[in-house]
Amino acid sequence: MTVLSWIFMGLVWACILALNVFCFYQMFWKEQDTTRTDMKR
Amino acid sequence: MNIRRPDGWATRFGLIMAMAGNAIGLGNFLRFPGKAAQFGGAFMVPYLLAMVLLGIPLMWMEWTIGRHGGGFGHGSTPGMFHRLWRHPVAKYLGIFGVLLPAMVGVYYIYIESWSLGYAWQTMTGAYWGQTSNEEMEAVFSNYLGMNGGLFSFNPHSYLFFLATFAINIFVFGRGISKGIEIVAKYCMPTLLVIGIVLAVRVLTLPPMDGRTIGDGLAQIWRVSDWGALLKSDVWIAATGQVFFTLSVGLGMIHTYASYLKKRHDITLSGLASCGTNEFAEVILGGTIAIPAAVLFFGAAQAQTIAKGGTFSLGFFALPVIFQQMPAGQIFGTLWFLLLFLAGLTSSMAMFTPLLVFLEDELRLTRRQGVTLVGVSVFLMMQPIILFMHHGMVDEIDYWVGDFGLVLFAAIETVVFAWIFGMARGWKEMHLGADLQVPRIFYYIMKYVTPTFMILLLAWYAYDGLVARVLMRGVAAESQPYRWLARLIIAGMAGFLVWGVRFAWKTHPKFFEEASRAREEEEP
Repeated sequence: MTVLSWIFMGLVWACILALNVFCFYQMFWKEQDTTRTDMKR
Repeated sequence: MNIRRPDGWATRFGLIMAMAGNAIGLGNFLRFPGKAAQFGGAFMVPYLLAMVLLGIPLMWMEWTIGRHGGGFGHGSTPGMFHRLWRHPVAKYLGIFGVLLPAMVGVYYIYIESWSLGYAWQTMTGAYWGQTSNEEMEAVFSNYLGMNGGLFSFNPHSYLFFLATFAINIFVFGRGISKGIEIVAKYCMPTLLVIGIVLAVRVLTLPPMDGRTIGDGLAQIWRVSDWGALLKSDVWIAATGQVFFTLSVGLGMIHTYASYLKKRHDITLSGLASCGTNEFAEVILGGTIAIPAAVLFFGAAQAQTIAKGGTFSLGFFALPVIFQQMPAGQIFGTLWFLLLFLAGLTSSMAMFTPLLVFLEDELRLTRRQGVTLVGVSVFLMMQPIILFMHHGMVDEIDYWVGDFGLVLFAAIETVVFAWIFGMARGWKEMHLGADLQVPRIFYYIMKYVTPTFMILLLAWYAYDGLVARVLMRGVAAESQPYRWLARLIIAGMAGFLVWGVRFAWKTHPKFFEEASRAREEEEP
């Protein structure tokens, strides 16, 4: 692996992890209204 | 009009896990690393580009079409397309969204059962001692019963097929909240934990014969030849992988999304399921199979293995590696359990559009629908299993899992973005949204995605369609079996065409709609 390859891999991994953290944080922590997580209500 | 449907998602977490589970399949852990290694690093650039320009927009479109159609009481694409485009042909175009997943499911469940069988064989050490790729290939052929006889049959593998089939029918027969959602809520976290354990194990493997795990990662991440990006095959392979990995262009996302109500978010939920899939594919899938293969066999042989096809990596090479690894029996069992869970969370979605079509449009009860689907699918599977050595799986896979998928995705992008209209589509997509999608995606979905899809379809038609139709390169003795595979697809398509005609003539919801239209026309 060259330095550039490590950076490429690290960037893609970071983007994917950040996307997951952002989505799940928005859905389950930031939103306090329980009606958002309980689909039946 | 907003028709309440009896079943639905109980929790948002369950919905995300089911949608992600639908997307995360065998392709994430076998097909992706194989393709990425085959093109030596240049693959990731078009893959990421296709994900943004094609995969994510298509995924949002399918969620939107599904929720929109579900509001009218349609859980499958014939009805959904009818609501998007008031043209008699629309409902027939929607048939692809029922036909394709059902036909993929016909062979996918059998492949899924191999993972369960191999998990058992690894746990019991049944193939221990077969320490080369060639020996493992022989074990694989023997497992499938491909011994040069008339039939491909092995009672051992057939038993695992029956178990896998029964699990699938049981789960999807219990419906969304009591079946699919419960399985997804438990299986998906388990799958991700197993994936992380295996990835950590591979990343911490000591160097072998001067090779390090970094050399294995380089096979996927090091772009040694930027000129490869100028070749069409890497772009086609990357785009195809984006389709497979997100399960777009199949009709399953539509059915799952049809259970959402208008106020339920789809932009953030859709993106979350996509993010989970990418975590499983790029981070976990890209870290396990190929890096381990490079470490044990070297880069050149690993690339040959990757070119040998999806199964040579997962079912020949990795079992050889597990035999040389400390606690390999445990890690090997975990690997095949991972594949089985990934397969199960995908396959349980595949017959749902057909079942929902039978319930919603043909007004069958759940029990009648499950019985009809179970019996007919089981019968269709038998020739595919028994004559597997004649390439029946390859034949069906090309027509429904390859060409059909691109065709249906091209149709739905055009119907959604150009006929239903992107302005209406954008508004519909943002009803109850927790995430405002950047405006640039409006233009991507309106211009780039449909154009990209039409060009891709043209390429598929140009590259190999005629050869496929004429069965060039297929042995003469296998051709009747290939025709049988086509007959099975045509039989299912014929039934669906009849079903749509029948439903549109007899279902009260279409009667009422036609009456209202007549009343509006008559002063």
